[in-house]
Order: sequence, then C-alpha cells, then structure tokens
Amino acid sequence: MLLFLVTFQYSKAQVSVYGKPGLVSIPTAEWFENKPFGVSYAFVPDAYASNLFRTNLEAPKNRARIVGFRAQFTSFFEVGFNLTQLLEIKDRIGIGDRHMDARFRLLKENNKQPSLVLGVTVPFSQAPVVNHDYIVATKTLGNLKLSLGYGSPYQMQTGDNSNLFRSIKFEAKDSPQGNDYLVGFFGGASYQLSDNLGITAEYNTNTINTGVFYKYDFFIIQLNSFEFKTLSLTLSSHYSLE
Amino acid sequence: MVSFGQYEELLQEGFDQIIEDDKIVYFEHQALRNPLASFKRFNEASEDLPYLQVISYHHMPIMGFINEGTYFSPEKLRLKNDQKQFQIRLQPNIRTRFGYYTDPYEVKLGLILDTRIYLASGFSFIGGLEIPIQNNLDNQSGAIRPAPSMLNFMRKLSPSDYIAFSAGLFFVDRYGFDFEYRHQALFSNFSYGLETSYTGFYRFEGFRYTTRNFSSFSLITDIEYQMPFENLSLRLSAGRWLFEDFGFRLDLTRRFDRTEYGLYAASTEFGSSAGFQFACQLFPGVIAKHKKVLLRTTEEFRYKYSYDSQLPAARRFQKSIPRLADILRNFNK
Repeated sequence: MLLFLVTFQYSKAQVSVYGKPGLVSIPTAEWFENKPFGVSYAFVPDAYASNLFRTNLEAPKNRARIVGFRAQFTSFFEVGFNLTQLLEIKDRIGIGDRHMDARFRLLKENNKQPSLVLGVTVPFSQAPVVNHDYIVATKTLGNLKLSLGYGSPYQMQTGDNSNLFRSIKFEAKDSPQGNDYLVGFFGGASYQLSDNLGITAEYNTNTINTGVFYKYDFFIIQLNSFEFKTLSLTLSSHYSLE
Repeated sequence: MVSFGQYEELLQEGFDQIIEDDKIVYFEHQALRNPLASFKRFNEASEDLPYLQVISYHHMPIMGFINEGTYFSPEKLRLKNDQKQFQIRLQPNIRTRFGYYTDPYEVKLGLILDTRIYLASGFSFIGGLEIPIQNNLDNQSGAIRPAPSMLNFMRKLSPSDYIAFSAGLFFVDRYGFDFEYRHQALFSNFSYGLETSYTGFYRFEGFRYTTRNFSSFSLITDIEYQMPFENLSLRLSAGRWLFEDFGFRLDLTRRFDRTEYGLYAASTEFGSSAGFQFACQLFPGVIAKHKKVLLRTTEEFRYKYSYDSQLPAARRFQKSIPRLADILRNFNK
C-alpha cells in the first residue's frame, strides 16, 4: 500500500510550456506513469516569449502560443512534438517552429536514486529556435520535488534538407538563430500543497519563474508568472488510452 | 440463443454483426482494438453463452475464444449475412499540408457518410457520399460528391494466411485495384505481407468526374515484429511506393485497447521523410439507433502527418477499410 502511494506521488507530474513533464519552462525528469499520451496548450506573453526563444536577436515583442503532443512508446522512451507560433510575426514566419524531441528515462526514481532523463531534439527543424538537448534529474522528498539539469550549448542540425538523415552537424546553439533556451544549468522545485494543488519555482538559465498548478482528473491547469512580471497559462490533458 | 435483450445490450456495448451459426457466435467489435478485451467485454455483457466465440472482421473470422487462455484461429465459416440493419457511418476525411508561407495551414476536410453492404462471406461494398466542409488545399469544388467507394473481398486462406482485394475509389484521389496478402499466425511475434496496387488519378466535382490513365504501380513487402513488451511493433517495409519511388520505411507503432499511434522514418529515391500517425475510434460511437437503421461514428479514424524533405516519399493510400496489417496487428497479443 505504501509503495503504491509513493509510486502514485511520483507520477503526479505537471508540464512545461512545451507539454513535457516540467515546471514553468524547464523540463524535469518526471514521467507520466500510466498516462502515455498527452496534449498541451501554452500561452507565453510578450517579452518572455522572445526571452525564451531568441534573446540574441532583435526580435519584436512576441506572444507565443505553443501546442504540444506527447506520446510514450516504452516505459523509458517518449516523443514530443511542438508547434510554436509567435503571434506578432505570424505573417513573417508562417506556421511557426515545428519541433520534435525524444526523452529517454535513464533512471527510474526509487528511494535511493532520483529519476534521470535525457532529452534530445530531432535535428530536422528548418528554424531551430527551440532546439534543446539536456539531462535532468528529479528527486521526490515527501511533497517536495527537486530538479536539476544541464542544457547543452551545442545542437545537432541537419545541413541538407534533401535528406534529413544525412549531413547532421553539431553547431553552437547561439550561431544561426540565437537560441539560448536551456543553455547551461537549470533547476527548480515543486511543492504539493494538497492532492490537487501545488506551487512551482524554477530558474531556466535566463529568468526565475514561479507558478501554481491545479490537477483535476486527467486535466492540469498551470498559471505561471515570469519573474513576477507577467502571467502565462499552460493547459494540458493526459490519457491512459486503455 | 442470444436473446433479444442481450442482443440489444451487446449492440449498445458496440458489438456488431452478431451472428449465430451452429453453436458458434460470431461478432465484430472494431472499437476495441484488443481482441482479448473484446472477448472479456462480450462475456460480461452476455452471461453463460454455451458457444464458441469468434471475432470476425467484415465477416472474415480471425480469432476464436474457448475460455480465457485458450484461443484458436478459425479457418472456415459458413454464414450468411442475416443482419437486416442499414448502418451509416460518419468518418471525417482530412488532408493537411502545413508550412507554405503564403498559407501555412492548408486543410481539406470532408465528412464521409458511408455504409457497408455485405454481399457474401467476406465480400462487401463500402461506399457513400462525402460532404466537403473546408478546403484551402486544392481547388476541388465544395459540392457533395461520392465518397471513396469500393468493392472489397477478404478471405482467410489458412489459419494464418489472409488476402484482401479491393477495386474502386480509394483515398488521396486514386482509383484502381489493390491487393494485399498477409501471413500472421495467432500469437506469433512475426508477420509479413505484401501490398500491391495499380491505380490512376480521379476527381469528382460534385457528381461530374475526371480520370487520368493508370499511372502508378506499387509493390511493397514488409515484415513486422511484435516486441514482447509495451504492445510495441516494429515494421520494415520496402519496395516501390505509391508515387513510384523505390525505398524503405520503418514504422514504430504502439497499440492500446482503443487506439494506436506511431512514428515512421523513410528513405526513398525522393529523399527522406518522417512523421507520425494515429488511429482511434471516434466519439461517441453509436449516435442513433433504430431497428432498421444505425448511425454511428467510425471505428477507425486514421490521421497521418509527414514531413518530407522534397517529394512525398514512401506513401501508400488508404482504403475505406483498414489495411490487413492494421487489422491483424491487433490480433497479435
């Protein structure tokens, strides 16, 4: 019974703006147990969307709308798909950035060890502004969950659009698009106030952000703030499909 | 006998084509993709039936149940269609193309209302009408037109060999002939098959149509391995694809009781391609029911998204009923 309760607690993840297990904008090493499929919708306001995606460019102010899907294939491998639309410059950038990544659970959390997840972006995107490759660990201590991770300053990118699988090269993330999402150490914590309600705080390598989450059945609402300056909303829903 | 009350209850549970013949009860439950879940549900809904139970698909018997843990692969059946109900099925037909700068979301959406008429064992006509809803993908007219409609013949040649032959109109504007063969032994982790088609382009503008000559001959063989965990299968297909490109394709699919999703990567003469697909039953199932008429949403709605480097690589077309591999994969628990 105790084991069941503990496992249940481990499985109570919430998501980042990209719809992956995470806090406000950072991923964590949590894993949706028995909920292999998820969809998400996030709204990131003006300055922070630009902050999140391309600080080095003189981008105009941008509200971002991020739609995400998540699908687990095994108990240690899942795939995420995102569409990030920058609403102010929709006309200029078309559909937005299509992003796909894979998450590998290298360690499963138990009493002794934290869970450990490796996230790798699939190197196909033509506009790799949200590429991120990282490793992150999460440990549950009662109602508290602590996460610490490191995001790579390099990315993999296909150099030849006529064949997605050939000519994949490594490049510094700040080179073509000025992407500094998750470059360096990031971390955060979430605290469960009750069965349904909790709070989060994170450092995403650029800003410190906080949030409140509420879970009801298969539905999670997250109200977040970027540096206590502006609000952001993330909605997600997760299914067992059985 | 399945009493009338039980019959009603079974229908309510989504069971379909319930036919009794010589101490065997045949039924279909295409909403539950997992046959073991179907048997379980069937036995819950109909208590103590002294019958062998067989799941069939379009009157092609696939898997038989004696008791939990004992299954068989029925080969032959004698039965005729005594289902007097006229079924209408709602199915969205969606095609998308994303990413062109001038119009990033190109969507063609229609609602298909079709029906299946069983002409003989394994032999059926599937067809109907399509109501266009939105189209900024191509210039096809918005008038009601015939839906992809075809004659279909499916047969089990042995306990583990299946064929399907179809002639008529298929999805993605193809008309012509399609033949499939698949070998799949019950509970075997390996299966293999062959798909071949000879098709041309057609288009309806309302009820006026244009066709072009037969222009594509495809031949694809594949082998699929069912991994012993997570209901995961890996399928390697190779051959000449719909647009006559030579190459191979690798699909990873995960199945659930009511849905499946998968990823693929392909490499052909046209370059490379990757994407995902999912298939599920559409909510709410049975919409309206009368003794003679049943209106329901489709049991299998499939959507595919492909990201191509250049031309569409490693494509096949869909037919009005799922392909053998997609049907039989579920019977491989």
